[in-house]
Amino acid sequence: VNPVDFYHQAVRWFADSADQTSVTARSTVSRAYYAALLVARDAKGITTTQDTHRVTVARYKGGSANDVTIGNRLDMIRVLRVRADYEMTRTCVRREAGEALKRSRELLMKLGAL
Amino acid sequence: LSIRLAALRALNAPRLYNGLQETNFPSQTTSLNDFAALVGDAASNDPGVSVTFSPGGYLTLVGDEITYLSNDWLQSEYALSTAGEYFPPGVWTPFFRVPAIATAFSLTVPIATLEPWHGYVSPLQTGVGGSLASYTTLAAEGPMAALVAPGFMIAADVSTNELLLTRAAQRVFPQATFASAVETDPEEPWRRLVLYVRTGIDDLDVRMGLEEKFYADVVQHESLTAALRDITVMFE
Repeated sequence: VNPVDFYHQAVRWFADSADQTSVTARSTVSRAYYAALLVARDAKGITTTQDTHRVTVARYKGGSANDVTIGNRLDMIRVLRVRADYEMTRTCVRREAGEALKRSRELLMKLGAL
Repeated sequence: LSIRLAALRALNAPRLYNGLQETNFPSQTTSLNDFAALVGDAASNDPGVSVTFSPGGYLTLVGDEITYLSNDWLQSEYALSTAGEYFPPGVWTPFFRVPAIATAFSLTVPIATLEPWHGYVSPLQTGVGGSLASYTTLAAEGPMAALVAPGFMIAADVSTNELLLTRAAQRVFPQATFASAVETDPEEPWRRLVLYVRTGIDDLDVRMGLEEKFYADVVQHESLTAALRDITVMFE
């Protein structure tokens, strides 16, 4: 599976404007994040299956200045994803999904995956 | 004696300094629209001590019997801070004390008065030891506020990295408000400080465009790059 496909799937969900459910919005945020995470992980050749999120962000944050900014962007999307997947009392609707998608797209483009 | 006030991690509990008894420092988080400095006042017979916040970018402290931590300690603990272009070495002395601490006082200066200050120096958190019993502000004029106390202890507990990033974000988002929290990841043993920049900008394209300016600053300035390694900045 190409991780970017997660992004494309999230875009398809988002494109269905008739579906305004929070479940879809949360799923969109989550897939948008995973697309960015996995592409970023693979770009650094990270193979660990333990603490993958932390390790990936840390690898970027420990790198060049540009990498540091990528690490921050990725962690921002992770914050959005944690909210979407764990904070059920917090609003997560189309707006949040759209933001996650845009941020994921931005990161995927910087990583050369889009 | 000119001292630049900055440094010291907001997340860490206050420590012992030069034999000073640690107390429950009433660490105070400012709104970033305020600059808070808490100064302990010693009811001793020490000569008058003044603290001046001047437009030149320094916290100037004048007085006798002032002890402070060595630059060696600071540089070992906060090497990143002193390495930055905004923090020339030799002006770091965030903790001072004089004996016979009896009372303390606090001062809050609107951040507007700090605009003439150099670069990214603006404390987020400060703390003070000793009891907070009384305070005296002798002058607060325009961009300069002066405190005079008959001897005092001051302990500034400030997250330098947080300050740096806050100031950098504030340059890009002047209307932003700020908050920070130590976020614990729900899936992994991972805790990190997240600085939330509430930009007040709903248009995501506009916001993300401005974020690019922030990141450009980060890439350009080593001190900001170093700060962003340890803190996640979340634009909202």
